[in-house]
Amino acid sequence: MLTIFLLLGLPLLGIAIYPFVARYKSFYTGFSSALGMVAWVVSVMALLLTEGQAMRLNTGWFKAGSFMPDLTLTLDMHALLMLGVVSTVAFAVQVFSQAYMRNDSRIATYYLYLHFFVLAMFLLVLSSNLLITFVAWELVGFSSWLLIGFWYERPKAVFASRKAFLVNRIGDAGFVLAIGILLALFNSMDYATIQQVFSGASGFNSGLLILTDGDAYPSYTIVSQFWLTWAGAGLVLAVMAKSAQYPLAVWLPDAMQGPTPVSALIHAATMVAAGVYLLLRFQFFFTPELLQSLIIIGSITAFMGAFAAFAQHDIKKILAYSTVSQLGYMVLAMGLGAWGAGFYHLITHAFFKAGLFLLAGALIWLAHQNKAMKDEQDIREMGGMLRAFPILHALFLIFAAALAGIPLFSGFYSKEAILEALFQGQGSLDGAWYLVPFLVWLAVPMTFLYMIRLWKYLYFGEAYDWKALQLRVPPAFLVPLVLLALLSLGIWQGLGLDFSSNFIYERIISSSPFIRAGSDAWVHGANEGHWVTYLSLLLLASAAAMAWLFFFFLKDRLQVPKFLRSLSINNWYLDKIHHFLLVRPMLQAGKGLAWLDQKFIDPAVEIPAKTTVILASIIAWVDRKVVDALVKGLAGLASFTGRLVGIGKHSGMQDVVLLAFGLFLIIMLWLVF
Amino acid sequence: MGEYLLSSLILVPLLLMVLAWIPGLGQKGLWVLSLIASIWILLASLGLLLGSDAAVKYVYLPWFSLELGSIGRIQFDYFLVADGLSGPMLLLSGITLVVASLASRRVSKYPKAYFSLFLLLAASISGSFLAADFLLFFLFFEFMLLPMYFLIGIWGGPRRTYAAIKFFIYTLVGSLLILVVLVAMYGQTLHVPATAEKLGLSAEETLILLESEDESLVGNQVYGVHLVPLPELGVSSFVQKAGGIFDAEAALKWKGRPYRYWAFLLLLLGFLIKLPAIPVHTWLPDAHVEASTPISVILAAVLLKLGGYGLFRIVYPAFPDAAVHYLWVIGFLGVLSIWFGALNALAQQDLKKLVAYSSVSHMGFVLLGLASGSMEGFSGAYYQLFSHGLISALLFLVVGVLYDRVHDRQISNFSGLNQMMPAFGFIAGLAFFASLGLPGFSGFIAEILVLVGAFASGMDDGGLPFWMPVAGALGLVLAAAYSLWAYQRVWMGTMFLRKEEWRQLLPDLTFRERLMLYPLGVLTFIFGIWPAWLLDILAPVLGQLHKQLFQYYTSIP
Repeated sequence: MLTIFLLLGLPLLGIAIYPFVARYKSFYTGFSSALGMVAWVVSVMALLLTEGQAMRLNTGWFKAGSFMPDLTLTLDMHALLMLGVVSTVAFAVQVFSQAYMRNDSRIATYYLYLHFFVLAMFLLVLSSNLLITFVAWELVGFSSWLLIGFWYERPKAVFASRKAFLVNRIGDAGFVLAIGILLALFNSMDYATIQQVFSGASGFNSGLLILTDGDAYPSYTIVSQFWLTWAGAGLVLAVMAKSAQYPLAVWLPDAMQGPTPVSALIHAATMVAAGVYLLLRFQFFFTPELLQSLIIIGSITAFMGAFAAFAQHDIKKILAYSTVSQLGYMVLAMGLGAWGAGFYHLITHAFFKAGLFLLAGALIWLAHQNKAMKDEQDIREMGGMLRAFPILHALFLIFAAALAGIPLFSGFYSKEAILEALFQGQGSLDGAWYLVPFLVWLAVPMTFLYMIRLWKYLYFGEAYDWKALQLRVPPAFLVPLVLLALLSLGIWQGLGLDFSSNFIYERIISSSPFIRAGSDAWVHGANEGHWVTYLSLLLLASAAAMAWLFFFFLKDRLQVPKFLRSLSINNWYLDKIHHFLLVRPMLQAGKGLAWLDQKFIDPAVEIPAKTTVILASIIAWVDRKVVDALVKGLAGLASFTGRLVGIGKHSGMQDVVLLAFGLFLIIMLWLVF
Repeated sequence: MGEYLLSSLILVPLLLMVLAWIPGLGQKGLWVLSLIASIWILLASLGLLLGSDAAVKYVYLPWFSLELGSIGRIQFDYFLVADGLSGPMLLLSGITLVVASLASRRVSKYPKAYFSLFLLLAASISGSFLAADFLLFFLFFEFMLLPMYFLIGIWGGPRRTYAAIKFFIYTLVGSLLILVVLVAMYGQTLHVPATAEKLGLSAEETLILLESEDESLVGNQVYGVHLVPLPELGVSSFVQKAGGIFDAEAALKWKGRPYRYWAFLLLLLGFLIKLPAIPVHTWLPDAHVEASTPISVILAAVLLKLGGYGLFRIVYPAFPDAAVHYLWVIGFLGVLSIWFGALNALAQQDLKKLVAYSSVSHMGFVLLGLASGSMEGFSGAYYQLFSHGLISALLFLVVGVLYDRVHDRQISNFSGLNQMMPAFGFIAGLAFFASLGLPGFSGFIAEILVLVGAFASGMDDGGLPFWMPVAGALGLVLAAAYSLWAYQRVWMGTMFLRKEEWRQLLPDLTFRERLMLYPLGVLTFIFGIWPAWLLDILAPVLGQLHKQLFQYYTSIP
């Protein structure tokens, strides 16, 4: 309980004191890092000391009909591991940013945003109520928007932040779909309650989920698989947006416009992994078709991301596409039912990828001191930097080895687990879909290759004489980098392939309330021949041979076909496709409807009004020219007669009276006789 | 005590309006009068909502009646009620009026006329939310047109006359449709308390008599339309004459449709114009663009709400069977409004027009929630009325701040305002994010409730088609698109102003502007993280309505 309060309270404290101390920048940043360290210590202690018992905290929020989103927080082993990852990377980033953002006038605001993100992320990890998860899900997206567009005076950053937010909103619509359906089906949004319904299920039977335990949910003993598929599809859409799966992966490379430590924290290690975490929590729930679609989406993403990383020249973009590719592995694992392997890869990836990003940040920061440079993120201009800074070089090699999956480094073990699961689970796919996961086997050597390419540029190039610039790497950079490098070593993983003695893996597969029983059975005993291990080692060796051949032997003699190069550098032209299929039609629909509104709908109601006015004018005319004229005519007739009868203007009153009297007499006489 | 409080909501602004005619009262004095009236409405409505005897507060006095010989008698009452439906709306009116009178501080053109009309408007607003007799409601509802017409037509922008007359005619047509039904209902709906009194029986006994068309009733029937049943008697309102055209069991038809359905459709259209829904919305952008900032705020935050309030208060309870029969029409109009409004907002170049179209889009959620017929949908629809009142007021004030300074609000004429006006940028960002439904703000609660209700209805055989909630959920993407895009174009990016001299004209927020903007921002936040208070007030009334509707569903989930 204390853990939950502390973890949510620490970032909240950081936010609360901001208005009072924002003026004292160095105090606030220092204090924030201290808070980050306390949170880190708390979460690691909780992870080490816990006895595996899940803790639950439940508070009511509000109620409308059957909609009762309780603030339910669950601290189980999975949450603890994820909290450990988030707080570790957050702490590393908070320390790193001390030096990286030192000269920014808005550094206090930056730390405020970091606190806000950490708070939302902790909430996301702890929540076990769908609506609370959704709230946190949107809030991490919002803080991502804040931080991508942190330098809001740069149009590119503004555009990137908007793109990220809008693509994620598409996913959010899917999330709402899932909430709506699940609430209608189960009358609850609590994970445990929904899970309980499934635990009583005896499987799918002709499109219906039959529940044996009918007493608990008397009115819902049969759940239509149709609706479950819809709800699951909504969640898959949400995951695709948040975890940058193709074809919604377009926002992540652009998100690199944010400050680099932010990319390490949000867009490599934690927020983008939230989708995978959601799959982990809802692993019990997906129907077979949806699991297959996850396999396919993950495989395609793993391959396409790796491919797009090849031709980039921006160091951050290479890492961003690599992240996309690695997220594909994780989603693939979830689809295979190897949730343990997927989560394991999430954890190892968080450390080595955050490390790579922070290292890139350090290089960019150093390159920034070199005033001669045109683009401080262009690897063609950064040549030789690693040679000039041997410490950074050593760290780079550790992280890169972990990413490429070299034995004795953390990435090797987690990737091995996924490949093993793939090897066994590939058969579950129907027909031609069976071929799709072979893309993953291609992605394995490709990862190795693009990292070698990056290393080649950074180590060998000689754009500038870096040593002569006499640059010094600040200690605030080295501390977090060393911490993350230690975590990327294989020692923690038990070094062997016997996962049961693995520190992290053992904790992952220890009991969790949200797991479908028996889905991760492949781990024990299945890997006896070490088949897959030999295969992936073989792939790595061939990749090394190819790397030597392409980058060191053939060098310029190798001509990569131009279309392949531009396909990679433009990320499969996805931005253009999205623009033509989504953005432009939407904008044009807006313009068209505005035109319709102005030209048709508005006049449609104005025509009767105008007709009335015209009709009124006609009536007024008739009134003036006909009715009025008639009256006037009568009056005129009278005056005409008067004048006719009257003797003239010069006649006096007496004459008229005399005439009238005479006429009167004549009429009387005529009447009488 | 409570009774005087209710009447005071109408009388205090009226008395202050008379005071405003004291010769020699300066602009400042007049402004103070309007502020006093607004604060009174705010405090009194808060008192009513928080009061200990929370059940229902009402005033019930016979007003006048018409003897119709053997047919009976029609009775009109002075009947005011502050319950779960009207209470929150009064609170919203109080908040809005306070903000609007703060925003009126600088009105210098004919101040006496302006503030008199303002006070008259305030009185008729609280009157129409309080009224529980149909005629009384209609009087206040109609009377609101007069001050509003002049407030737009005299103190508005360049095309104010056109906008004012358009607003007037549209709303008048809506009112006429309502009037037709009103006249018909006064000949059909029985005034149970008065009939009971005349017969010397209890209300329950009278009801039984009325159903059986007993002979003793002849000449003793009293007609009258109450929107809310008299609390002490505890019988339902809208008791229709047995065998009459509005009798649900007799179901008399005209042109193949029951009279009840016709009456429902007329009332629906009447209130949809006010809401407004597509395609009767075109008065809104013109009225908003031409009206001055305080009047825009009142228009968006309170007057539009009367449309939704009328649906909750009159249309649905009077004809629940028709509401169920036409739920797909209402749902369709809702989804259409969501999409049409949002796409139109995306295309606007004028910031104020963008906000106006976003209002249309947001009101679509009200219709979708109402159409769902579920408790969640109802709560969400009502919550959306309240929340949109706060958020749209905030947005119009934000636009007003900009317009006050440079008399321009073309989106393309500004860029990167954050660098000059950080506080303004902060509150504008808050307003736009609240408008796109970010969790933590009141709009999120409203929209998620509406969508959840619509999904529940969409999965039920007798409910909405399933594509409607899906389309509604996708509408969230569009809302994010136009809000975010507008905000980023004006407040973010590189600094740019169309005219160089504007640079001196754009200081950051003044104290008075902060006083208007910050409380509204805080309120949207409070109602976003603590919705329980308002939802608990709503639950009994909406639950009653839900129950009334529920019996007409063909299938029960």
